[in-house]
Amino acid sequence: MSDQTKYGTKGVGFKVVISGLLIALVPLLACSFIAIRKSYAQREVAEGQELMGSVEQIADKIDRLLFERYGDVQAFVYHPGASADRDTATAAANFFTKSYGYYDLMVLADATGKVLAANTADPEGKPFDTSSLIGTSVKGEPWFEDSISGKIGDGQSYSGDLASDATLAKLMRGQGLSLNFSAPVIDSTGKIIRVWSNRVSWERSIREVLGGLDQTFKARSKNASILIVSSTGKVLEEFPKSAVGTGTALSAFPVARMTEKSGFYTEDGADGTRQIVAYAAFPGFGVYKGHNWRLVVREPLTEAMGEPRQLRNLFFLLIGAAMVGICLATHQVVTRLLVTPLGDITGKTSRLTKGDSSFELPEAARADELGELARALEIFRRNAGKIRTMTTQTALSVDEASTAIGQISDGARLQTTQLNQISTAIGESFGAIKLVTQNATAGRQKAEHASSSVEKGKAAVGDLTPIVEAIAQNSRKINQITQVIAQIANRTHILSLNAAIEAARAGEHGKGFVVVAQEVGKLAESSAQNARQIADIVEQAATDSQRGMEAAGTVSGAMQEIASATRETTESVRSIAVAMDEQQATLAQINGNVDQLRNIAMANTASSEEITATMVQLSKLSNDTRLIAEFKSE
Amino acid sequence: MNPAETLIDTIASQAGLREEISRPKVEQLLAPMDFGGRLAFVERLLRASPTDREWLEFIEPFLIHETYFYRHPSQLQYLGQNVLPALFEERKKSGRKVFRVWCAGCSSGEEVYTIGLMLRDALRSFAQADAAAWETSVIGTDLSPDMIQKASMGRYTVSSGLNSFRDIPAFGRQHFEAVLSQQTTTWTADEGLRKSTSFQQRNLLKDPAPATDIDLILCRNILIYFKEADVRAILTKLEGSLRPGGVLLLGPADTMRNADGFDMLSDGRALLWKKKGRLSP
Repeated sequence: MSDQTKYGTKGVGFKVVISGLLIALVPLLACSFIAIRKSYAQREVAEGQELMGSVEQIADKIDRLLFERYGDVQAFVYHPGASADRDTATAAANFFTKSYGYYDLMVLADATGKVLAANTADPEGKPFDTSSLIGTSVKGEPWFEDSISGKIGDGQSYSGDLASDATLAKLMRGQGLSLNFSAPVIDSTGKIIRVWSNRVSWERSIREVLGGLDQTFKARSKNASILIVSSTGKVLEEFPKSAVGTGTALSAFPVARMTEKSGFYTEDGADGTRQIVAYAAFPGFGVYKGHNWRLVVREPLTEAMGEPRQLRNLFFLLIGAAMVGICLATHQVVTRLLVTPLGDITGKTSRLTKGDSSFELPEAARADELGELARALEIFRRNAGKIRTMTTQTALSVDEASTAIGQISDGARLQTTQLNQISTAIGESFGAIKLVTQNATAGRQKAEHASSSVEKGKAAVGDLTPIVEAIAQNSRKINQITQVIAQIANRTHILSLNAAIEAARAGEHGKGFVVVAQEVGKLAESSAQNARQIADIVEQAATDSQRGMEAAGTVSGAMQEIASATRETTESVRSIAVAMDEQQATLAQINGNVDQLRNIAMANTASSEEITATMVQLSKLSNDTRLIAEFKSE
Repeated sequence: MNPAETLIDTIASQAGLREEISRPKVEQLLAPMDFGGRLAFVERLLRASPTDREWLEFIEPFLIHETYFYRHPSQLQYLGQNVLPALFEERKKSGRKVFRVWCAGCSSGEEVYTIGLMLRDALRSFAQADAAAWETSVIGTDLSPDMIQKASMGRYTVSSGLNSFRDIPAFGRQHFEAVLSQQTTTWTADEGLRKSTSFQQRNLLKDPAPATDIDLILCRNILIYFKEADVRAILTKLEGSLRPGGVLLLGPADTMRNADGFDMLSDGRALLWKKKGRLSP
């Protein structure tokens, strides 16, 4: 939406001017409208009354004329010709016809209804052939029946409504429109002997009158139309004939209005012009009662009221001038007092919404609503400035806070990694420690085992010593015995040699053999003894050896145990050493992780402080905004 | 005397650290001691002055040393592209080719070296051949002497996880190519960078600014640890040490308190505060 519209049709100024105009105009227009209508109404009434008066007069005039015709026939029946013979009667009829000039036809019928005579001349005196009528019967026709029956009293006539008379129509080869005035012919004795009937020419009577009147009306207005309507609403006559079928003709008279004798009303014509319609009942005259027709005259209204139209035009001219004057004045006043200051403030407000707060506000000194508006704008300006500062700061803070949050989540991830590593390392440590503990326990057990083995060994060795001693002894003994045996063997060998020699010598005597044998015997005994000794010793030695073997076995077993225990312990110690090394590495890693964690913790603290500071800013900002929303200044 | 509360108050008054931050650590620290032990501990600390080694060692675990190269890169990008050239121009117009930067709360120094590198780059594209005529200095201050020592060494090693090189943006990559392509695990500040940077142990709350007539102060994510009254005091101190038209760069989580003396510079992704006033020759 552009700024220019504020001074255009959408602006306040425009609206104010319109309001002003409405305030000024509406009563003005209303008053003038009412005044004009009133004067119109008054004029209408006047005109209507005047027209109605004219119409009444005309109707009266016509009925007076008809009254005379009513009387005519009564006069005719007293004429001698009425009771005379045909020729006389005919002559009388011709006389009346020519001299009155209103009648188309006169007929004289006898008491039986047979036509006795009729006029043979028309009102101009020209021949009128009625011979065909003579001798025909008019019995049954109302005028005859009423007249012959005595219904028509003294001083009265039969007065027939305008109708198309068949007889007349035939004779004149036309519509035969006529009014039938008839009266009985009474003889000297008072008996009704004949009936005289006059047919008043519509043409010659009413039309003449109306024709003349029409001219009078035409002098007044070109568009007037005249209507005669029967008591049943049937149109009897219309003037002007040219109007028949056009929109200005009054072809119908509202039957409802027949209830009133006279009156007037206005209506719109088919061509849209306002028409005034005045009507009056034919009043009859004297004994002539008339047929309760209505005479209706219609005129266009504007032409009926020539004078007020000019007045109205003048009035509108004056109103127009006043309107323009008020327009200009209002516009000036409103512009100066309201539109310009309002537009200024609006402009400044728009500038403020665009972020430009560099304007003066002198309007703030005003005492009216614009002053209040300006003062409120001032507060907004100040607050907007503050809010802008705070918002910028806060937006950046929030940006930073999201970075800080990102860093915290990064840190958290790292923390998790570090912690996982630590827990793994600690798990390993636990494993290692368990291993160490196990090894240590095993080692202790081994050591205990070894020491008991050592004890066992010691004991075994203790057992072993005497055995060894004994074995040594036995060995010495065996050595000795072996020497003895060797000696014996030697001596035996010698003896055997000797024996061999002796044997060779003694081949005869063998005496030396006995000595030898004795010697060998001794040796044998000695050997036997020695053998027994040896056997004992050997047995002993075997036992001792057995014992020694067992002892040695024990010792060696013990030694082996110690050796294996020592081996295992060495293994344990080695694996402990390895585990310890691993622990070193793990601890170093844990140290590193913890360091990292410390860094992360510091970064997190920093980040959370920043986030907190941002939250504080945000809450401050929302507080300030709320103050502004409640139209408070700080 | 409640040892925990006294400790917390002392920490707040000496180092400005907020109660919410110091409380959990204080309680953790005092938990294993018995009451007599606690009292003795606190009394000893109270007697120590804030510059004593004993006090600084005590306060060390309470301090948050989170920092890395090119932290908050969008701010630094805006600073380098839009703000530094303008500040150089102002100095040039006033006739003095100096540029002073103060990194308040520099921790292990990454920020100082980052700014040093950025200054060098910006000056080269601004003054080109004349860059050598400019005298630039970047001063980093921090409460922790350990951090100051680490910063002065100017050597940083790659470690797993959140290390000093975790978020180097595209416009800073060139200075860290060797480390980022994993050719080496250590980054050392070059000679020129060392010459233009210096470090001092200072208490942001208690001690005065290390210089006046400063062009650019960075005090990022420090103020969030201080309580409200101290924040205002520190901001006043920072404002006072800036030259007219000098720029204060806070962290995105920091809120400016008294912005009346500053104009807001922003490109939607970064926010800087420029002290009102013009530099006179």
